Amino acid sequence: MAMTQREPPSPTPSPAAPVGPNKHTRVRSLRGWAGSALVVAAVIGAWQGVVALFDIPAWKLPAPSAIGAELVASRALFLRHAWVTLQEVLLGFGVALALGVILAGLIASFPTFQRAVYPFVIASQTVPIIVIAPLLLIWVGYGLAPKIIVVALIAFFPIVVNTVDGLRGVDADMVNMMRTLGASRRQVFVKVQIPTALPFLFSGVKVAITFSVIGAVIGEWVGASAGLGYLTRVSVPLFLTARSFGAVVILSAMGVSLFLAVALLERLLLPWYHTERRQRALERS
Amino acid sequence: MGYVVEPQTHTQPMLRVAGISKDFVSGGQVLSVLNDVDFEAGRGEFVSIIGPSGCGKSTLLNIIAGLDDPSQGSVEIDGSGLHRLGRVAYMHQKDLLLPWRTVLDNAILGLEVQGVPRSRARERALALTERFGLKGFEHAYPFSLSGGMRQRVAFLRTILSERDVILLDEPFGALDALTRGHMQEWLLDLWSSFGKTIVLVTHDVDEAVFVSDRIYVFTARPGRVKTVVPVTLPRPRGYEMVTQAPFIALKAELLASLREESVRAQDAPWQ
Repeated sequence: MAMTQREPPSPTPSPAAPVGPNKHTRVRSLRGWAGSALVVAAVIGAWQGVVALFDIPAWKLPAPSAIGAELVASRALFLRHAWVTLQEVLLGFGVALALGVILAGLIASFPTFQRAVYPFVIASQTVPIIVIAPLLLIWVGYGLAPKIIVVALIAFFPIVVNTVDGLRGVDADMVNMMRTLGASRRQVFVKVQIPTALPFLFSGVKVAITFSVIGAVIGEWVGASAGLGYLTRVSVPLFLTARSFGAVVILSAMGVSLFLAVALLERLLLPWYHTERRQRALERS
Repeated sequence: MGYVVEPQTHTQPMLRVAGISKDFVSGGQVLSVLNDVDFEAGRGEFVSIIGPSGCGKSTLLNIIAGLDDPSQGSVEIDGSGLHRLGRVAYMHQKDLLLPWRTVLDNAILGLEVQGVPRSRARERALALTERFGLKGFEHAYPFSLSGGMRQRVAFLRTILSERDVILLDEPFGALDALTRGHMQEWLLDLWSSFGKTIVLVTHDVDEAVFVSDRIYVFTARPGRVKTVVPVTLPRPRGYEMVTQAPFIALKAELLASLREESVRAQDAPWQ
């Protein structure tokens, strides 16, 4: 059955240049940033104005300038306490990530395990952490350990729930396609389920990393001798209100930076996911 | 009919489906989807299945591929009835490309699953990208490709899995008419050089006549083989044939047969 070789039908699409953000979207995102900077500036300005206008004492409500001055003057103190809190956050989050991913894998793979364990995972979130935190002091002592546990308890939940959804949200046709290629269950899990779940995992991690900062503060609030949460707690009764505010500023800067770091990591690790999403958004607009 | 039926040259069919029935039970009711279907495809033969919607064509392909088991009857691939899963290549209407893999890495999925080292698998895929119109796009992600190109990547993945039998479930259903025409010609060209047995499920009578050696027409649910029509048009076939008398005569015969079934399907109360 000899036959002239036909050229494959190629509608000659443009070369597969990576889809970069075009001028249009870049301008739009610049405008978005400028907008939020303006809002922040307006709030700070109003705050400063109100404090000056009504002559509010600094122990009651310090002006932004006073908080700034305190941040500069006591920078060594802040740095020392921030480092303690950061350690608690990162270690606790690390434990949550490891446990969360393993648990999610088991829950998604074994229905029996799911029925046995998933209810407890959900129930664990209904017990107020503020009740558990003091008990942890009795059980594991006063140091870093109880804070790490509190952080992990708060952070593991969004990781588990999102990853389970991701592992389960696999296209059944895709699994069948893999099976007809002769793939084993393990191969389907590694080559299809895990990559499908990664964007979900990252969504969970973004929530978890911000919760981690809150968890560390709760842990310190209940009983600690260092950390930014501890610093706010001891500063208020001493009427060092600016110091307390300074600690809060650093805490939220820490939360935002960690969130951005995760978002950046996601972009680097899942380039296909972001370009695909952006492409869809462009098609819609 | 007026055409001479070519004698079957093959001795043992590559694919033999004997007396297959399939019932689905839902809510205490039994829905019979396939009823005593006999079906054969010879080595290197191109066979199509057409029928009204819901006649169990896709169920039949799932059974042949090993994704589902028949309620009754047997499937033999190259004389063996065991372990169908992984012995038949199956291409879906959706391209089912993995969005996190490049064109090349999607294409080698079958080889990878079989344990062929990635670098060797990639070499083999690279050797074929030109044939598949994918040259220059080896490292592109699926989202940046057109529908036709994505479907060709899926084809390359199917061909590279190296099965003797390829099942195609409306592979061009999602493409526009012009692209579909090109793809059909291109598919014929590939088939003639790779020598695979192809079973194509389609709604499109023109497509079935254009590519097939034989066409199975299925009845409305429960699906049975209504008639088998040999297509004796000479090969290689070109698109100019579509407007010529022998092609149109065959098409008319198939359409009449199909129309009977779709009328019957509409009249029948839905169980």
